[in-house]
Amino acid sequence: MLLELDHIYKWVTTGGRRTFLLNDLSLKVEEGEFISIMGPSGSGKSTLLNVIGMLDGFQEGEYKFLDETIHNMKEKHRSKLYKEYIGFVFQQYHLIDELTVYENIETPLLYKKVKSAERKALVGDMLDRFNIVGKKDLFPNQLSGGQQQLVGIARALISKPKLILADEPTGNLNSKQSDEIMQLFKQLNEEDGVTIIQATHSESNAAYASKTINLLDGSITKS
Amino acid sequence: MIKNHIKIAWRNLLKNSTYSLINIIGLTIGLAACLAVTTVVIDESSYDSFWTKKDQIFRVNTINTRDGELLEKGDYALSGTNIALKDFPEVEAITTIEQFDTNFSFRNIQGEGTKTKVIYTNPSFLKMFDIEITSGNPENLVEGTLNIIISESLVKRFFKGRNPVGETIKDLPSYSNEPNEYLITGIFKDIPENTHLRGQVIYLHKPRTEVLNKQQFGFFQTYYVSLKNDVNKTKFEAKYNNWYSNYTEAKHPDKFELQPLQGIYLKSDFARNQIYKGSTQKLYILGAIAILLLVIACINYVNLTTARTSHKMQETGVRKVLGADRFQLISQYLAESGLFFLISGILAFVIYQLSIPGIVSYIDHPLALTFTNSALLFLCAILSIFTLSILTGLYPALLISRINPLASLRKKFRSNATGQTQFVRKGLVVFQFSISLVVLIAMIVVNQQVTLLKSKDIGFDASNLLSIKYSTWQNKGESFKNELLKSPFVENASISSWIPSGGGGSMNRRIESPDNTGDEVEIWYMFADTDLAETLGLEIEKGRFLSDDFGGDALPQSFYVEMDSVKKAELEKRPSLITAQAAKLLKVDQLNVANKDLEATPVGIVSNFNNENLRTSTKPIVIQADKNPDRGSLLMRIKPGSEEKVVAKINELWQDFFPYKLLEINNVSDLLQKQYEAETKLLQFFSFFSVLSLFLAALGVFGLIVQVTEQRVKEIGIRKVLGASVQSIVMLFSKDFLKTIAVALIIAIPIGWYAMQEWLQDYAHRIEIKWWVFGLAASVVIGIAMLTVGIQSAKKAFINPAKSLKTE
Ligand SMILES: Nc1ncnc2c1ncn2[C@@H]1O[C@H](COP(=O)(O)OP(=O)(O)OP(=O)(O)O)[C@@H](O)[C@H]1O
Ligand SMILES: [Mg+2]
Repeated sequence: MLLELDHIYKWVTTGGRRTFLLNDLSLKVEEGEFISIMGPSGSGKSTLLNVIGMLDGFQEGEYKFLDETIHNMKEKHRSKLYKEYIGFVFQQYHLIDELTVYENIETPLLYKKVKSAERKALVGDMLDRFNIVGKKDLFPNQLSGGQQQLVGIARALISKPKLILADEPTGNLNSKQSDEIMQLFKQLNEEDGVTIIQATHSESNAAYASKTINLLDGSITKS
Repeated sequence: MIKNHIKIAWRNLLKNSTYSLINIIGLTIGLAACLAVTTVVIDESSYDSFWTKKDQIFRVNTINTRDGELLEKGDYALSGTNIALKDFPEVEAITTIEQFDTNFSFRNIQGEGTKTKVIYTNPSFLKMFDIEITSGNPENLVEGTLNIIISESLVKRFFKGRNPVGETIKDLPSYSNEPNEYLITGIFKDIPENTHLRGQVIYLHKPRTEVLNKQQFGFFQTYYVSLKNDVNKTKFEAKYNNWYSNYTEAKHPDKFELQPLQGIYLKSDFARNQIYKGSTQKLYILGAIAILLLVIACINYVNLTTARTSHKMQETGVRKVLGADRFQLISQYLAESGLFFLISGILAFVIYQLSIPGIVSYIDHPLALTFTNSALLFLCAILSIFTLSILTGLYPALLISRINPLASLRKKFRSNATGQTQFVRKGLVVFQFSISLVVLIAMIVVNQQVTLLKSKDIGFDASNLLSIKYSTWQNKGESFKNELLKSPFVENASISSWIPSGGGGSMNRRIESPDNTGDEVEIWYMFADTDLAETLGLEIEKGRFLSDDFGGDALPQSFYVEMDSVKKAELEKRPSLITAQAAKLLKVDQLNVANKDLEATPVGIVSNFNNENLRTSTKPIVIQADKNPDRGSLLMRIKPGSEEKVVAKINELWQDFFPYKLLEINNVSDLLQKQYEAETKLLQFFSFFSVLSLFLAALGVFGLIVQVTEQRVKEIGIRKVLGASVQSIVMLFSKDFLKTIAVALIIAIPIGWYAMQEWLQDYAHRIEIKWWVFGLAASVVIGIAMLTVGIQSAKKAFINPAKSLKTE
């Protein structure tokens, strides 16, 4: 078992009334799974990914990651998980404005204390793979939305995470690019056993996964 | 990692150029000023720390007490103390030291002289103070001549390549009439400048050998004693005092104190004979200012950096998600502050190096130690700057690295966490402005006081008053003066043993106060020829001036020879002038009657005048006349604007009368102003630093308002669309800062008032601190802050809202 959400409730209180963002949500993810989360806008896909990624908390329920209850998890341990285990792809890219494409991709390696020569090779590979070698010295604001998305994905993959959390990873890409990314995810999943959880609006993207979860108003609906 | 940190820090620095520039300017000024002031502090506190036996050498101070109450402390002891001390086994050596300047004719040219600092002492001085003799054998005094040893730098300057040991040189006397001849018996390695015992020439003489007088009468000398290594100073003090109280037959035996060599420079307010001395108070002020400036500069950095946290949040959030732990994040922000401090530190050192000549001229003597000539100090400075950069960078770093990644990615941080940081930031701004205000208030008060000191009516007109330095006149004084009076420009002249700025008078006497039994009052006596009061321009309020026309006004020189009790009784009949204050105090209502208390017969009452300086109050004064005085200064009242002609005339006469003697003419008003040099310097210092601290504070406010308006550019746009005017937007931003400054005022005014009130206590004549002082300081500070805030917020308010709204 990689992670397990057990009757998770997450709400916000506005004007004395609770609005549920996650409502009695339970989910088990085994190592090596490839899961798509689907649902209309506002159904809670991003919220769920954030909870899984430990970026956000919740009010009730239990969440175990690698058999450890994350309530008791120390900040230090969490940053270690980010470093060693989890790669994020954000809906809003979240590239660091002050860094070039090359440096953005390199940053996770710095935190992992990878040697300089090895870093160079790894980043070079990644730039090659995503066909953005020519852009390596540009800053994020000099890129198109789709290009920023690619950099974001490259940055998530560079540290060879065991779990990839991707929020609309291909929202800004054309269908050809989108298919290539999905192929890549599938390959990572099958050959390297990387666990992938992605939120998406696209049926065709969702089809790459081995399992699809449908969300509505913060709850999983039976499909 | 570090390399990466620095690269990013550098890039950020270039990208946010306004922010970086403000930070660098602020830190550079703060660091440079701090280095400069600290140099002075280090120099002042390093005095006399280089002597080999610094812990064993003490000066013998005499404490004069009456019934346990301290009357007077002096940096001297009765002659013969040396003989008495020598018998104690604890004492290793003892010497007497006197310091003065002599004009030596090193090149042996008639009439030429170089002002040289002289230490007049016994040969035992050389061993005690471990003076390094590089040539000659000066411990053995050569009989029949005056023995001097001179410093290596004098040798270099005047005896190019020649060893002058064995040569004879003359001086250009300012006091006696014939030049003295000195035999150079040795050369010594220069004594460092940071000592109160500065000397380029050591003039050696045999110790006096008179026995300590049992009645506590005699000459006073300044003694330095070195105790044996293992002697406890306090115990020995007690032992000697005990011995002395048994030895002396005086009614009120003096007490003695051994003052450690290292403390002499700074802790000698009482020491009248000591030429070179500093003050602990000044040192504290300097040190405090140095620290405060640095604090202001660092506050600017902290404030500007925390104000930028919202810019940094998104980046920080992403880094956290990418696996950065807190330490890595903190170290990145520390690298940024390190870079700022590095650049500012380098610039500060450049400015510091360039300002050293200025510092030297301000403190008026060369610096033995600076941050750039001592490797140790340089290292200390670097380490301190490094530590400071970490301390300063830590708060913003902790603040930024603490934020929750998701909140920062959503930019929620701005609304909730800023409450606390804003409080801290406002607190720091309050602190900054409080400091600036206190310094500003201090400057205004010192300025007022200095103006008072320099312009207050002192009872006589000091302008158009010239003086020739105290000297012996060889019975030619009167004829010299008469020759001078032939000049149409000289209105009056007097040979006097006292001139303005030359102490309180020729002597003083404490007498019991006529009305209040038990209290003592101090009466000052001035001895001159008959013309002193008229030359000063005093007014006669009752009776008459002294005059040679009345045969008995001036005492002949012969009177003083063989003083006996008969003659002493005569003194009471001596015709004298007394000031109105003295008359009032002693209830003199009848003239020409001998006054027992004064030992004088008042024949005239003159207007009051200040006899010393405005630190002290005006004292009752008695003026008495000598016939053709043999010693004294010559004081002249001249016609306005005729100074040059009179000086030429004096020079001409001097050549005739005293061809071998140094002539020194002074303007009395210059001499008087010179007494307030310390205050003038303090004023310069405060002016400089109030400008600096205000500038730094304004810089900080500027930085803050730039950030605040940038963050709120959208809000400004919306407000404008809703119909807000430019003024109302400027007001919106100014109001916040005004409140902050108001708090600073509430803090600073009492502190400033109290501190300056304390400072003014040193002056008998002092200004009153008026409310407008605070008003002025407040308006200056408010004006500067509002100008800064107003201009910047107006600039933002004028931006077309369509433009500002689009950017978010
Ligand atoms: N901090 C918050 N306070 C209040 N409501 C919130 C908060 N965060 C999210 N929501 C609400 O939670 C719901 C789920 O949001 P979420 O971003 O998870 O949707 P989503 O499924 O990812 O939608 P999309 O497909 O548009 O990305 C939305 O209705 C949103 O308004
Ligand atoms: Mg979403």
